[in-house]
Amino acid sequence: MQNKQIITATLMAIGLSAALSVATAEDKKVETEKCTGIVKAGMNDCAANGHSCAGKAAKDSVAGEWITVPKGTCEKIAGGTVVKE
Amino acid sequence: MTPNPILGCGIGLRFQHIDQILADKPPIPWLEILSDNYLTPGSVQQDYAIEIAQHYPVTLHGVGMSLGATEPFNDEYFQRLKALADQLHPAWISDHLCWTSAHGWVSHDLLPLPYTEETIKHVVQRIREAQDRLERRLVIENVSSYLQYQESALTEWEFITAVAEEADCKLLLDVNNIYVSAFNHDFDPCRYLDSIPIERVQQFHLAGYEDKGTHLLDTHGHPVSDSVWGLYKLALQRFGALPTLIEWDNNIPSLEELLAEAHKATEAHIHAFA
Amino acid sequence: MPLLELQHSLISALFQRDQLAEAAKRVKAQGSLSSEQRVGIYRNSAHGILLDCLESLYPVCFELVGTEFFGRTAHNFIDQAPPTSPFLADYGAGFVNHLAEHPALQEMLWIVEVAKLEWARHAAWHTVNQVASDFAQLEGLSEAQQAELRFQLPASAHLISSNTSIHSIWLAHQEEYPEKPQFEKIDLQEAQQVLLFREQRRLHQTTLSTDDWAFLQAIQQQLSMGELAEQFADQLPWLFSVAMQEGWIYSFTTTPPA
Repeated sequence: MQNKQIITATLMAIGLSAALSVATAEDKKVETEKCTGIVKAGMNDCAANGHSCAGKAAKDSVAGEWITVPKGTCEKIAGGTVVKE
Repeated sequence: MTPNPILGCGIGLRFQHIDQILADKPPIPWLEILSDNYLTPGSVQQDYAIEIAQHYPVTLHGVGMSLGATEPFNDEYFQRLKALADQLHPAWISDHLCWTSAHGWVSHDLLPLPYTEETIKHVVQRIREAQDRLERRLVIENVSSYLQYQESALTEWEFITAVAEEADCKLLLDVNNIYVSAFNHDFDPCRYLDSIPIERVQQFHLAGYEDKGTHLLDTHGHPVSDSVWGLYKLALQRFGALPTLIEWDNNIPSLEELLAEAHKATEAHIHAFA
Repeated sequence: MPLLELQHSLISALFQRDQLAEAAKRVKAQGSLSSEQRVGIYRNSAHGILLDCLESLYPVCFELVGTEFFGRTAHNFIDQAPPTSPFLADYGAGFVNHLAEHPALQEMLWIVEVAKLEWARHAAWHTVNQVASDFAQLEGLSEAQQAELRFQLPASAHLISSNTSIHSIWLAHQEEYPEKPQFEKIDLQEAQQVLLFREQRRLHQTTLSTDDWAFLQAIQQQLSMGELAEQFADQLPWLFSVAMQEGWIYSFTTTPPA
């Protein structure tokens, strides 16, 4: 009996939210198109379009590559102590 | 639906410029869409490409068919490419005279073929099969290269001419690639141009290379060099004012700068015959 | 077939440094470059293309560890697991585990957690959501049918539970985000539950409260409405209300899963 009441209340809530979502969909769409774009989405042309890569930092790694330690923004963070060589 | 005609000098579509192109709809004669970046069905990339194709004439240009490989074609690749073409209605589909897969691995880099009679037979059969799968005639591009195989017995221009004639496909001549390979392998680029059958050529590519001292590297990261503009003028005189496309993939400039480079190609069209 | 052998040899040299000399035997030496250097140009180029690809997949990790570390780790990964699919979008999932095994990151496994988030973002972008349900259809159901209702998140959704503050770290590295947290002040020990999903041309990434997290997990586990009512009791209408308005619940089915 308890469950039945919860289910009824839940279905009412779903119905109400669904109706609300439809009503605000138009406003939301305008806002979305203003603030997004493929560049902001972080999209990149990955495929190489037939060009050759000059291979930045592509020095052939031989022995010792595991010794390199991270030296990026991780050094700034509390708790992100970098193990020194 | 008949594709819109491809005329004059276009640019390759890059993600950096899509928002601006869709917002401003600048006059661009046509756009080349790099098919390999749009092959996930229903992806946001495809969504954008469809919108672009509603406003501009487009062609599809790819790097992943692996026409020169010995492994069977990847069925899913062709299915997805065909489906993309059915949505975008490109004027034509192009890919490269090279291979990108072997031994179960994919290089994602364009690797050169040995220029032999045996390779011609193999590639011709592959291009025919690809044309059947896509239900259209393909346009095949010459690649830039940095090595020649011991077993190569033909020049690149003999090889590409034989392949185009026997497979009955069209050619996309990349003038920059001819120049880069001519430098790297010490041949005469004019002789290359003069050997290609006029009626086979459908389109030109132009791009900028990087001079590495010992060799030229086809990085698509610079303006077109003066020497390539010179070779392009000879190409226009031989083959006519065919559709031309500027490729720029590294250090991608603003849309305005890219369109200015395409405009230089348009100027060359006018002056080639003056 | 000679062509097959030639191609096998060359592609091996791209992804296995010790195969370079072997492949070079089939290449002419010309001018100032040896045949080995010529094959090397291709190895360098193929690696460079894939390195660019990994950088664009893991931009925050790239900033966290820096150019040199990222580059070296990526080059090792490329040799260890060369691409096997013609679709570049498939490439790079294994990089997360590669980072997790790196000795220098054993004290900084939170970076690996950020990598997981970045791959999930890529995967979400490349997933198409199922057809959205019309929730008005819920009205005519019998009581028995109501109890058997099951709901689904968008197919692109990822629920990620992390023992570190992945969402805050990610935000702190977004150039254009107006209220981005100051990276130096982030508490790494703060566990965060993140929901990711794609809505057409937009990717939503948000942290969830413990209650919302538990609720969405139950939804993902395909609990029926009856079971949900049992578990969440009188919280359920409110949980659904929020989830519906945020677009977290995308469709429903009236038949039990097969």
